[in-house]
Amino acid sequence: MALKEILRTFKSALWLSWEVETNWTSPFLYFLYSVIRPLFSMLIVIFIYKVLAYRNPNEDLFQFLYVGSALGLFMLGGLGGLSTILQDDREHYATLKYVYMAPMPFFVYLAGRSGTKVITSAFYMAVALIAGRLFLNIPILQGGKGICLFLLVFVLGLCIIYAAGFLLVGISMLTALHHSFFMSEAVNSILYLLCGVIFPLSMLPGVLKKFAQILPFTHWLELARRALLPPLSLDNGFTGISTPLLLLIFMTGLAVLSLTAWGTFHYIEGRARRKGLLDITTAH
Amino acid sequence: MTPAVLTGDLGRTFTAKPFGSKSHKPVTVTALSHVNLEIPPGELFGLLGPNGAGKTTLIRILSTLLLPSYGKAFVGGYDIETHPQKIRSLINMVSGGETSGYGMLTARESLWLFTQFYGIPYNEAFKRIDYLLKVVGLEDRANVKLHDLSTGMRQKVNFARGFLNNPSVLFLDEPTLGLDVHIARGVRTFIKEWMKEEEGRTILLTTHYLQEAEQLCDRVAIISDGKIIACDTPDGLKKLIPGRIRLELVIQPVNGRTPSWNDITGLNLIEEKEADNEILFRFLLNDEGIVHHIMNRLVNSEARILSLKKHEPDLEDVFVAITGKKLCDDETAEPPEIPEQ
Repeated sequence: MALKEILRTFKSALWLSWEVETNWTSPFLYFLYSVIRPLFSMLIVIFIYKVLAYRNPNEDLFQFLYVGSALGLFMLGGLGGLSTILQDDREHYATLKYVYMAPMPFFVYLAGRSGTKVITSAFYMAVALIAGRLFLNIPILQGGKGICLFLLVFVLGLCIIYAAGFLLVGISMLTALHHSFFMSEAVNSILYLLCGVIFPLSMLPGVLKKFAQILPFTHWLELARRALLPPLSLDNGFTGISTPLLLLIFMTGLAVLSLTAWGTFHYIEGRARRKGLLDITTAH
Repeated sequence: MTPAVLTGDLGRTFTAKPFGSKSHKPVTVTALSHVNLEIPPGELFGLLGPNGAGKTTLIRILSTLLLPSYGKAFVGGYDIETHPQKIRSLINMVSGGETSGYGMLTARESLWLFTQFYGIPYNEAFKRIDYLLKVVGLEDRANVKLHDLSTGMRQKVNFARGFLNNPSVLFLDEPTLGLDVHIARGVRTFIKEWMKEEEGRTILLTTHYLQEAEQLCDRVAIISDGKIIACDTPDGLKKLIPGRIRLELVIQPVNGRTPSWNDITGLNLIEEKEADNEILFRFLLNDEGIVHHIMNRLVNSEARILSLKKHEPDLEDVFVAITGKKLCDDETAEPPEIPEQ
């Protein structure tokens, strides 16, 4: 597969995703919306904290909650966006069969087709983090410390979003439209609950905590927090594990997830072709 | 020479739970059964059959969207199971009656997108888009978004998309379904010209429209219940029913008495339509001698004969004679106006 072909496919699919996602408004209004939306999401988080920690304010918990929620906008938003694109093309636009039979790498098309959603999710995260730094004095990347680690973690975050996303896209080939949305929401909710987005893993019951500790998403969030914030006094289940070791554990998990996603995607693609599911419509 | 399309004992079954059934036992439906076809390069090959005969299933298999349950299929010499990507660079497909597409894109943008998926260079892409938009009569709507186009116009964009990559093998699944008469005529003319433009281009066309199949196709296969039951040139197919004639009779019954045709040997009633106290009968006769029996029945029933016309058999007559079934039951299957050649 030539690099030129990959780039051309990705570029045109990315352009399509931009047109699909932003067709309801002008680019300026879309930008404004992309700034306002994460700010309001974070306002909700702030109010929840204010209500819950009314008597016992805990700055470390607030930072944990705020930064975790900002990272969640990226990770869960990107994943959620990616997992529904196949259904969009197959069911809503009824174009999947024509796209699928074009001589281009299908997975590159899917990566580009979800590009705007993933980029927008990253933008939400950036807006939330900048707002936290500017208006709430959260010591995010204070003194520029951790910026290299964060950039690395961000790129790895894209990798894990695409790896898990392809797994979900693959599964969604075999499901009906409504099942697919349900699956996407269920996975997002489970990750939101278990990966230490809004509360430390130490608050989870024993079995769930152990399960959460092996999820690469949990490792990614912990690494991103370590890059963005000074050490917190909360036990997030990784005390005593150095950042390089955690990075190694995460990379191992990411490799396993990527291989699983790759294999599953291709296996399911074959199954979908065998069962005639690439051009069906399940919603009327 | 490598055949453009080759199938060997190709079959496809689907398993599904019948709708509304309380039973959990799935039902197996045969969509294609032991299909053997060989289409050489440069041929415009027609597949004629009623709804549910298996035409679209065959095209889905050949266009790499669906795998067969058994048998083999090759396009351009490549196996559809093992080399789908090689096949995709040779083919394209148009499904008529569809309004698929990204509604927020203009007709031109929509076609441009697919030129990129096919790796067509920019300059050439725009030239081809302009040419194809002209062919389908949309040059003045090129910059209108798909969701602002009518259903027929969206179909035209879809039709143009099928020709963007100049495919070696093109699958046209009811391409003129739902198109205006004059656009459908233009489309047929374009298909013929496109075939002549370059040697070796192949089209597999499925259609309900008998005249379309007769006018366009070099060879026609008749498919029914997933089986190819006859395959020849249109003239060759008509020779399968030698000596047969088609009779169209319009009568006005007297005292509500209509003649009965059931027991006349060699008479096949294709169609019966009643309106305004007039009844139209279409018959396929094994030989002209049967006309005598028909006249006797008419005399006995005292019905008034309003008209009686004799025709040469067409492909529908062939279909009826071979399968004992009508090709089309619905009004949408009325053939479009076909100009004299």
